[in-house]
Amino acid sequence: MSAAWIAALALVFPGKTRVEAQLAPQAEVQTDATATKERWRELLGIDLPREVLGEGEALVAPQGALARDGEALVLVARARFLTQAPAFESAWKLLDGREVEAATRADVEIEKARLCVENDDLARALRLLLETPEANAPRWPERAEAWLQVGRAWARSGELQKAARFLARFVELAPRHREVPTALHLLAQEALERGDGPFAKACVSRAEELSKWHSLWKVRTTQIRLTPEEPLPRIGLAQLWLQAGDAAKAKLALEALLARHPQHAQGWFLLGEAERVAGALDAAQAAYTKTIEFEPEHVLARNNRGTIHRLAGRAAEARADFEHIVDGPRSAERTALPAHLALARLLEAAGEKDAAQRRFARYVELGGREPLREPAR
Amino acid sequence: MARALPFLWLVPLLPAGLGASCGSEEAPARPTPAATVPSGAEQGSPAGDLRDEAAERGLAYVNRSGEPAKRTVLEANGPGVAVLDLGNDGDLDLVFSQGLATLGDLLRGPGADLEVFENLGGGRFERRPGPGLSGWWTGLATGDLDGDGDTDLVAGGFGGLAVLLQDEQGKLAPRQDLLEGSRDRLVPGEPRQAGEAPLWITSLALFDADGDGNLDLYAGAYVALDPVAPPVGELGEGALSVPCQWKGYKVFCGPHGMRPQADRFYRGAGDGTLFDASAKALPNHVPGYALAVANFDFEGDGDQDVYVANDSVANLLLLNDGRGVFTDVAYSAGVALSMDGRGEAGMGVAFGDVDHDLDLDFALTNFSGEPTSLYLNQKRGFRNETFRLGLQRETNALLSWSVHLEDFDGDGELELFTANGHVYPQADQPDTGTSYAQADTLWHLLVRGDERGLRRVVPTDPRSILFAPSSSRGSALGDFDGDGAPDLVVAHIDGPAALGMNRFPRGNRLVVRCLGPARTERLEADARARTPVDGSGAWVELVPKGGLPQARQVATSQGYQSASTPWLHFGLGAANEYGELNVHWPSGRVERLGAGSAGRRLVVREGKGIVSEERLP
Repeated sequence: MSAAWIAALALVFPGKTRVEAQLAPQAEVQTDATATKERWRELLGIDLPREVLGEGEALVAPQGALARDGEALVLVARARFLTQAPAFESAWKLLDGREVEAATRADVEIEKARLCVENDDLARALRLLLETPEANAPRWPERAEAWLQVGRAWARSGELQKAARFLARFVELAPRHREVPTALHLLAQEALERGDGPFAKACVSRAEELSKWHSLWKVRTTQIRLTPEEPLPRIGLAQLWLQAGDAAKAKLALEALLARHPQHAQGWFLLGEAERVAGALDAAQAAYTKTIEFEPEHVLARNNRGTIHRLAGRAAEARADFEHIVDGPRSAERTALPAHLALARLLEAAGEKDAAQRRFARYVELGGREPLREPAR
Repeated sequence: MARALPFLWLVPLLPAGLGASCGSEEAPARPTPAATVPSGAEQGSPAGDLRDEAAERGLAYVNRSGEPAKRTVLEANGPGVAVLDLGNDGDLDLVFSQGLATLGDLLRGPGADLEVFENLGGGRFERRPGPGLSGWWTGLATGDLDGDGDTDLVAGGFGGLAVLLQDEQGKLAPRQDLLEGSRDRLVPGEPRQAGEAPLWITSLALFDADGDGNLDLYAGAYVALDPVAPPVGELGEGALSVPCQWKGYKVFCGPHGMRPQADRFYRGAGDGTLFDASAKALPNHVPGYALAVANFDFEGDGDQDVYVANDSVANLLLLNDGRGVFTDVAYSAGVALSMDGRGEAGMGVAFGDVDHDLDLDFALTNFSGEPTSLYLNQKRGFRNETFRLGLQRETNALLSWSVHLEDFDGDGELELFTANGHVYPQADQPDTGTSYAQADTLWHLLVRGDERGLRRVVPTDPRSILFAPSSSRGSALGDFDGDGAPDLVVAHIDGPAALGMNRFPRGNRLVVRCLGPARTERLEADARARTPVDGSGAWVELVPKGGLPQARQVATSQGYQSASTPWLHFGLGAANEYGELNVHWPSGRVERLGAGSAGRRLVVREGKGIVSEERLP
């Protein structure tokens, strides 16, 4: 049980997801709506609900452009909950009885349940979410948020054991959701009740890691909003997305940076990293080349470009990149170490044994520990 | 001697049943409340109230806490208040902490003194000279530090931590400056360099941690704030600075994003002096932003544990090993974080046996958008009852500081009081969902088996402390007019204090004061645990005839930056007598005092039983 769980938790940072890739191509207005909602989500994520209200109230009013968009209604209702008094009544009024597009009806119902949870109306939340009190899945099993709210409602009712199954499924369905730390905390509490300390510890550790990530995301996003021309916050945001394994989002952040600072070498390098992680090696090579154009002694960019050349069988180009590093002014730096080894191995493969030995000796001298011959896989 | 088995951490808790239903799917937004407590304003019975009589009773304290704009966090946290008997004349006097009009005043000097108000009898107060301190004072704690039979005081502040002993004339005289000579000290008027933050003490607790009969001190510390160059507008510098904002409004910076300070622990020598024992007593301490500190015996093993409410980060539940060495078990006990796993802005904490199972439950106040929480002691941890009671719905818009669990109406059930008021003046801007000034709140609680009740006291008297919005911070309990019913003094930031006189219908009461053996009666060779002279830590159980048992503990540090009376108030409702009264002394001795009549004020001294009694008016 615990091992399976820990494996499930490892999914918290899986691969890429990109909203744009899922967009239906037919309606531009739909794209606009999607972008608007994405912006509102971001504003709520950085504690600026008033801005959502400012934009959103008119759009979701009965005659507004997003009047039948349940997702939009939910976001404005959340903004109301955070800014109006009485919070529950104000948010509920917006959602209750509204006719929305069928595809977004579940969003509204789940949000109503969430409001009930926030209002200590736990039994009602569960009735909204479950067909029967004994149900093992919410009415909308494909919606991660529904699983979360059932779990929260059970937990607040004092039923942690019942909550655990729902929270676990939520983590599986939405491993990077900003409320995953909540689910993990409750799972840890449930594990402590069962006496499963190691599992609780794993949950806590993952929750802390995710909480920290979300805090940093919030800080970087706020900084970008306040100082859009500053490159460092965008670099930081891109690094966060790379750390999360979401190359697409990292790319978006870097493209925005490079549009403002087209000669930002580190921005190009990270774009190369994002492309490489995404498997687009040609694009990565191009980005590394731009990096080197603006910072010729950028060791990592040159090393990674050399590696791509080597993998593509372009030995001469690879050798040129590695030689530039190992004969260059930054050759003794730790980041240059892989280039020393790569060059030695290239020379060895080309039959230049003496040169290979000489390069390898320098590699060892600098602290390298890998063997000259690549171990068989 | 232990009253109960010690905690067995990581052992399963029993899950509770599903909470009360709150309306049907067809019903509009507002759900019905949880089970209601019988009687009260809504039912048309006599409501009762806490009526502010500060002005006519001569309580003329007015707080100063910086400028109205609140450019720094120091200016937002406000004062505390201590209830203690000066002069041993049997009535309860008041000491308030005090700040200054500006932060610059603190640097220029002179600093503020504590403000003392003597109870002339019957709850009429007159200002008396202060003890002559100079600083920006915050938290206060009371106890008999030198074992001479009167109550002494410790005052914490921004760069100050002073021990004051009460002399034979009933005056408080500075005895020890615990920060003297260190960089933690801020001396008003002395030149100071930018970049140095003094130690900022918030709440304090005086109790006997190691069973030697001498009071020790836990001092909660807040955040490293440089008074010469405080951060304003943003934290950090350059492109990676972070704006200090709340809901899109610019506000003062901190504490989040600033360096938290480590709490301190001082061991008492018994002669009125304290020495720093933090390293030994708090070996794995993780600094938080402590705002409230309270001692109580969590697991019934006879020693005093500590709960620390931290601002923005995990709270601490410090388990005492009996020798005054503390280990944090808050996470495994379920009281470190919110139900959603987030660090909340813990502000105040109060203990009481809410569910009559003879252990201590507690209430914790938090920021707006976070509920005041109620945790029920389950012997192996705590169960969060906040949501089943409907407390989140009731308190979500409030920012609450001081808190008490007390039986104001004498019916045998505890009420929950919270002192409210936002930290940000910007709360009055549009679309914040809250406000700067907030009325204080009082709820009747009912927790019996699966039955839950929460009903807010709706004030009808405009003079009620619950009526008008204000900006409350510290508060303390005490029977100021000697009628046997607990009253409440509330310290407001930037304004006059309120004196909430108990105007609830009279239930039958029993008022008990516990005292340890006098210093002269101790045997120096006696190696057993001792009860402090002032009875700190004594545990009293009262079993009414036909009613549910009640338990109280002598622990004055509750709420926020404040110290309440050591007298224990039991409500007996309509009953004229009780069946049992038992005192468990910190020494391990148990005294069973048998049945008795209500309507009395008793003094019990360890080993001697009831040494004095008088009828309540």
